[in-house]
Amino acid sequence: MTAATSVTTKICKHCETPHTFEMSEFCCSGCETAWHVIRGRGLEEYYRFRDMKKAAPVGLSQTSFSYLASEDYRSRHVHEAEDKLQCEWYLSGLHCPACVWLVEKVTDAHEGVSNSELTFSDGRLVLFFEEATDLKLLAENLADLGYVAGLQPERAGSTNKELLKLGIAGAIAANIMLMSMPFYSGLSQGWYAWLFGWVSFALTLPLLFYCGRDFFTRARMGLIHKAVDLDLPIALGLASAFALSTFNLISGDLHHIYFDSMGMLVFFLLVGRYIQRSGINRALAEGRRLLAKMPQLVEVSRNGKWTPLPAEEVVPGDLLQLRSGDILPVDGILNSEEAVLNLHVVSGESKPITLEKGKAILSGSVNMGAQIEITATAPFNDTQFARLEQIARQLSERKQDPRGNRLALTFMAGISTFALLGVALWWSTSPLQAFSVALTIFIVACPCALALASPTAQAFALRETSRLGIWVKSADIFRRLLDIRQVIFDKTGILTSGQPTIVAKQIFVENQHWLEAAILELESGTRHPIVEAFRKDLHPRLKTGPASGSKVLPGSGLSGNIEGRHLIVSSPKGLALFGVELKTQEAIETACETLPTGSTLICAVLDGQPAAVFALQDKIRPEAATLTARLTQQGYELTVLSGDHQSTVDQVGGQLGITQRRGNMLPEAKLQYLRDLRPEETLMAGDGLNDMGALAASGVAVTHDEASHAAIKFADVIFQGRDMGRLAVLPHLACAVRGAVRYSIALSLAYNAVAVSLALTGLIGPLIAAVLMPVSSLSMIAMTAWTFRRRRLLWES
Amino acid sequence: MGILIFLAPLALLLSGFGVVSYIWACKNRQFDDLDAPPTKILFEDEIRKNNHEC
Repeated sequence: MTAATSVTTKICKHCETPHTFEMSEFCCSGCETAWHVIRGRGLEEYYRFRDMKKAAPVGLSQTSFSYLASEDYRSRHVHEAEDKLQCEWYLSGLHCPACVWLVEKVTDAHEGVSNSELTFSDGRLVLFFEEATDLKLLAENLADLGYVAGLQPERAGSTNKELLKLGIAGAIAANIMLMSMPFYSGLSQGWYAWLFGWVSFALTLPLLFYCGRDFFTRARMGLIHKAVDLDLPIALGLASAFALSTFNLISGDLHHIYFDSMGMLVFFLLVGRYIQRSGINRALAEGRRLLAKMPQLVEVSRNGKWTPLPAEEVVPGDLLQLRSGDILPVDGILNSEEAVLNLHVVSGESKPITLEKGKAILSGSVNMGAQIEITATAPFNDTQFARLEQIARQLSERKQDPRGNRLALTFMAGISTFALLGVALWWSTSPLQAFSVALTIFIVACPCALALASPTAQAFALRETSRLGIWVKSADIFRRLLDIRQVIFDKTGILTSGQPTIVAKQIFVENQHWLEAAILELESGTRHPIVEAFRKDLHPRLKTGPASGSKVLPGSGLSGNIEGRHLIVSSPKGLALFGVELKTQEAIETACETLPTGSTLICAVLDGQPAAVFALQDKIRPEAATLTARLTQQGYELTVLSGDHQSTVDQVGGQLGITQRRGNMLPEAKLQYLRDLRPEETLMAGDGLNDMGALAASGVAVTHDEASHAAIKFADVIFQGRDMGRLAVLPHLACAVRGAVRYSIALSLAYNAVAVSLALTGLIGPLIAAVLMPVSSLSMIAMTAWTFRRRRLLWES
Repeated sequence: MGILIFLAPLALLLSGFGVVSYIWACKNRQFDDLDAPPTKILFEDEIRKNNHEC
């Protein structure tokens, strides 16, 4: 369709990610599958309505859904609902409402499913289906589109109750205001005044004891834990207002009733907190969805029979069977003759390794070769990584310790001084008046704007992050980011793609397309990371006939006959084993010298003559170079820590301009490395099981949504769609939050200065308090919005 | 002014009605998903139109 001669950047047809593959319209085979599925089902409408900014490459799902077909799943997770069966899944990978439509179309069209409901905000998919429905197939279909189903995640704290309180507070505040109007227009005595006063009082009761209850509980908890934050002055202000107003109501002084200000205060504070909470909840929901993976079933030999069992039930001594592509759930010893394993998540090593019988294998290793058998040596919860996870959990709990707020303490001390001053000034006039002035100070100085400053700024920042596809688990990270001096990268999976890619090739035959097609044909049916790389990177324009007489030499390569010609694909060292002439071997050796150093080399020999040489490398991710350059420019010290060989780490780090490079790091060594630094000054980016400890120990931990379970669990920030390039915008957002909070505090202090001095002179009344409250809060929100707007270019580019 | 004795409770009653419906809506999870339903309506229409053309 398009000219394929020059290397041009093209846009992926499915996710619109730019790519440079000559022969493909897609950036990856995941996107290609998704596009064909959508087209095949006549659902192209999806492309018209989805939100392009958030789309991400599909990638290939590694999840196995065989658990959905098991008895265990049926008995534990499927319920009867009227005459149908019902189950719940949690989907990850939803990025816009159009995805919801697409998923519902696919599920509704699935045989046996009568109805489905998907909630966008938490990814909950409720399915109603007939007895004989193939749920496994449905989950696989959804995974082809990039939506990976998981089971019940840990329950999220619902914002529903907060929404309820917020709405009721709003209604009450408006009604109290209505009831206070007569007082502002001069009514001060008589039957009506009495009526309006007591109705306001009655309305305030649910406001204080239902809607505003959390302020009091949190203030008390703060006092108990000696970690005072802004809830204390709020609770004190509310209590003073309620006491003083009730006292004045009883004694008949209807000019000094503050019920309407209280209503507004509670309402505004609840709005601020709700916005902040819902932003974080979205991020947490995404994190939880990524963690809600399928329980892994593993084939265990029991009483001489192979049975699929959940990984938790494996005991030491069990014989396990691992098919190609399976992940080992427990530590074990290899029972088969040979195994090709990918240790990427275990040690960070990028090249697959080959082990012989009797060698120990750690949990988390992925079987890349043929089916193997393994004897378990430890139960599921006592693997090396389960122990590391224990340490990591302790570290990350410490990170979330509630801290007192210095600002709140200063503020409390300040207004208490002024209240005492008020008492001293007015004591000679009348002790009652003095008391009233003191309480008024607590009321008008109520830190509404102060308490809203951080939540508002964080809510604005969270809106930006979720727009950019960055999930933030705690708003606290915007503060922690300011302490960061050093950025530490894991190599494999973060700076590099984690899979070998063809970086250079030399072809010696005339018909390049026939040769590439023949190589793919010969390799079809085998599974090895290098074969995957060929499949991904070679896009011949034709197909050859089937291969015959194939022969595989494990660890070297394979040979076979295609259309009457004899083809060998092997590592240069393996050629001798296939009986290739010495002259051809030498020719290949010479050709290989021109290829980049540090690569894995693969050559093809056709009818005894050299045909091609390929160099494969774990390629540096496209955004990594810009990212490291930007971070250096921003003044961060960069380090790369990896379990891979020092030479590979040096090569990758050198290309990216990272001067501090440490290779051969075991998981514990990574953790220790961070502990030896000042952990709160470090940002750790990692995605493997082996990074777990380091992530938990760091000040800010970041990962991407295809990372290992453990990394997602301990990360503070998750990048959607694997692209870490946006890491450089986080410091800008943190600075914007700091700036906005500073402006707001200055603004709030200015208001308080005016209000408190008015209160000291006894001039302030409920009307001024009722006006100052919303004016200060609204101007603060406007100020924050302006701060973010002004700095927007910093993270837009 | 006498009318107030009737109007004030009426105002409270009306807002009470509003609050009760709000509580109902919250409890029925009406606010759970504010993003997908508006877009879904668009989709259904498009598909139907296409079918007519066929």
